Amino acid sequence: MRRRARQRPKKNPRPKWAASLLAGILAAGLSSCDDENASVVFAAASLRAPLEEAITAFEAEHPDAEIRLHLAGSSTLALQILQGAPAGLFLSADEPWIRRVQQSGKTSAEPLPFVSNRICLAVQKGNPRRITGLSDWFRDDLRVGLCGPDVPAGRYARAVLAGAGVEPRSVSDEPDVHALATKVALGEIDVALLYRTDLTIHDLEEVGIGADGDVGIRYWLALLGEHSPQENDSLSAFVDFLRSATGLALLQSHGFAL
Amino acid sequence: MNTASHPTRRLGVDFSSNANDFELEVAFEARPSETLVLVGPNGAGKSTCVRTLAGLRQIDRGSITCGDSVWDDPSQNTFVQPQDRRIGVVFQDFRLLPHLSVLDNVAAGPRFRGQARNDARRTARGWLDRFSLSSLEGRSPQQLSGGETQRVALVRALASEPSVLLLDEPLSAIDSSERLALRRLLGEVLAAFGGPRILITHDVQDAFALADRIVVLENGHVSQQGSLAQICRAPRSRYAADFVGVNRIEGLVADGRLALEDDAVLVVDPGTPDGLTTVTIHPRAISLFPEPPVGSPRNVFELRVGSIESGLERARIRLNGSLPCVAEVTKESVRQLQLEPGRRIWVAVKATEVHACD
Amino acid sequence: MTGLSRARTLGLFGLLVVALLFGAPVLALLLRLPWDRAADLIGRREVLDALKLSLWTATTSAILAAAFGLPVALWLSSGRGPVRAMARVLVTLPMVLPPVVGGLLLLLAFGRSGVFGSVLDEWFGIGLPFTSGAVITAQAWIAMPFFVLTVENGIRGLDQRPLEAARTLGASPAQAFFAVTLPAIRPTIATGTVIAWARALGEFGATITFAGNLRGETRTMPLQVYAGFQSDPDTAIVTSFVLLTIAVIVLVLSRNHWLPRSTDR
Repeated sequence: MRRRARQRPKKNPRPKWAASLLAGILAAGLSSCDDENASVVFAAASLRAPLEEAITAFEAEHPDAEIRLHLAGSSTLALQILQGAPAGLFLSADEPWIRRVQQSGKTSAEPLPFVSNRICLAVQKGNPRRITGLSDWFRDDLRVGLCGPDVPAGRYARAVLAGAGVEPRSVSDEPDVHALATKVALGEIDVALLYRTDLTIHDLEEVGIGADGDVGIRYWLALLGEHSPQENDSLSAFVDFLRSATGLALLQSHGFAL
Repeated sequence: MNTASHPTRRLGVDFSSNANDFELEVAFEARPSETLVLVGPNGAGKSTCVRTLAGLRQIDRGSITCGDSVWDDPSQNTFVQPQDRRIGVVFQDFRLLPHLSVLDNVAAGPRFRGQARNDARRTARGWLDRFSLSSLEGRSPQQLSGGETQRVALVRALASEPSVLLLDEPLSAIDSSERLALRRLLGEVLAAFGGPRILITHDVQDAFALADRIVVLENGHVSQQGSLAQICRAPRSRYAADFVGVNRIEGLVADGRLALEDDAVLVVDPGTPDGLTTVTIHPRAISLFPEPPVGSPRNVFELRVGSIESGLERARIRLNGSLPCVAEVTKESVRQLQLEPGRRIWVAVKATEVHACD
Repeated sequence: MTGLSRARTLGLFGLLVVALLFGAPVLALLLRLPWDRAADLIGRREVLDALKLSLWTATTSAILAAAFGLPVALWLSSGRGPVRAMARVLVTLPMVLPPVVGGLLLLLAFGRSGVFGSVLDEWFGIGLPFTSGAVITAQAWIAMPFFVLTVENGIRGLDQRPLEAARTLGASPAQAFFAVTLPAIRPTIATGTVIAWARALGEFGATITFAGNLRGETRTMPLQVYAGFQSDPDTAIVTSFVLLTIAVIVLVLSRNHWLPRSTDR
């Protein structure tokens, strides 16, 4: 008590110093969010590997452009966009989510269909559990995994199971394909239904399910909302690049189909 | 009152230990049915000594023994845990167990030693009753006055049936209003306790009232031990002299005269050998006069009154000058001589009252 | 005087920022809550399942964190030295690691093909991941540091003198612990347990990574919020509201009944 009373009348320089520090930190944080040249692409997690390569190639051709990639499940991305996330381009793993974004008026151009993908059975390298096909989904000595029903990969997988007349059981509804693939790679899940394109990233092995895996998986893209002309230009150019022969060849090399 | 289970053992203390660069070196013996008073200035190591005897810290060299059993001896790798020493401690800073009632505090000792809860409480009630403290039994320690707390602590220590009683300044944190009664109680308890009892104090009143023998601890070392009379006659240090309240003067004696400052001399007891000597003068052997006294005393000084410390009937007058000393006179004399700080006064001391220490 | 008033203005400003930061999310939740559908949404089976699962796993985790954390806290507080310092870092790790990383580490250790998990699986046929046991493991692992650090601080701040007094009365270290230390740290233990419980209730990252996400088995309230967020944000908001309400009730109750009032001591 006594000490406080004695200190009170004195001027304390510290608050001013602290305030300017705080202001500096805030300013730095805000300006880094507000990087004018960067264009933000929200993309389905399954597109990661080809997109990273495509961005490198694109930026080499367009030195002024800077593209930032934000990856997550398409559902998460769509909700983030609906809540006002500053995305300039949305690459969704299915049509419904991109339509929802469009309905809310966030798109600046008509959504376009893009590449397609297939579902397959993914197992650990060497197939230690000897899985032969979808009929193994019944085996109760196996831990089978799916993405959650709201994640496109999970919805497609359930469609595959329904098409084959198999009960869609799962030990866990994983939040995105990478989480699911990681658990297969770690041996925690014996078999999962995943995109073909996810196998290489996690070094998994495919067990073919033929035409059952073809459930019309099509990626969609849409340019979004109000952004600066320059940003619009570079994103439009990026879309053109993706849809060019070079871009499509790159996507094909990762297992995507046209 | 009551005697504990093994009260007839002798406590042998002879150890040195080092903690935080403080060297403690203590040697004394506490005999059964004897109250040993350990005195010393603040920081002399008294409380460290208590903790060491209680087994709350270990010694580095030497030994602590109680009767035939060795409590602590590093050379034999022996260390008896506090709970196995049967040493009843009353701390100066009120250490009742805060979550237990008075009754359960007193019952704690018997309970720790294996009595069932109800038996321990019965024992505790007996002890509280014996000290007329039954009315406090349901209270919590926070609801007690300082005096009540120390009574309970004392009873609690006794109820644990100790073979040695160790009281660490039990009265120092007590209001003066309660101190007198508590000192009387302490005297009764100590007298009734058959084992060695060690009382730590820096109050000379406690020492006068309770001590059989005194150990003076200064700066971690025993500077003197002996009976109160011995220490009064020949205090070995300034602290010891101040503690018992005698004047202690050091100086060179030649031909029966001790040289003081300002060329003054003090004629000492005949037979005092020549050389560097310490002499004592009892404060009551110093007489004060308003005028230079006539007659036999050969030691006469004119001194200045420094300070006056009044007691109930007598006052202690600190005098400055060529013979710095303390005189003790009746309060009547203080009035008659109109003593006040700064006043000059004549002082006479008989040579036969100036004793050389051994 | 100007210095004083400036400091006061600055303090008020700071207070406002803090009020906004902490108050706004709660306010927003209340404003966005679909009141007309709330009862209906709470009554959904998946929400009730998640609620039931969350309550019993968080409670079990908190009890386990306290039971295993207490000896650890006692040991940590009983001295200093490099071994204890290392142990403290190890125990504090879950507090500073991202929970997802924690979940991954748990998976690597106790997963079916993990370092210890493979032993459990081969010898006992126990597979921890994707079970409620894994939920409890993840929650207890994340929550225990909060208990340990709370209680360790409590013990370190304890007055040692009554303990010494008990020893001179004939108490062994164990007896002195039960007679003196335990009663003295009971409020701290309660606080630590409540904090651990609250942390376990909110656990997400480690749970979804280590235990997965299956309704009734491993999908706790936070996972339900996340799942709801992907399909029906209203469910997510209502579930968040339930979680918030439980947390507030528990914190208020524990403040009133278990924790020491400010007048004590």
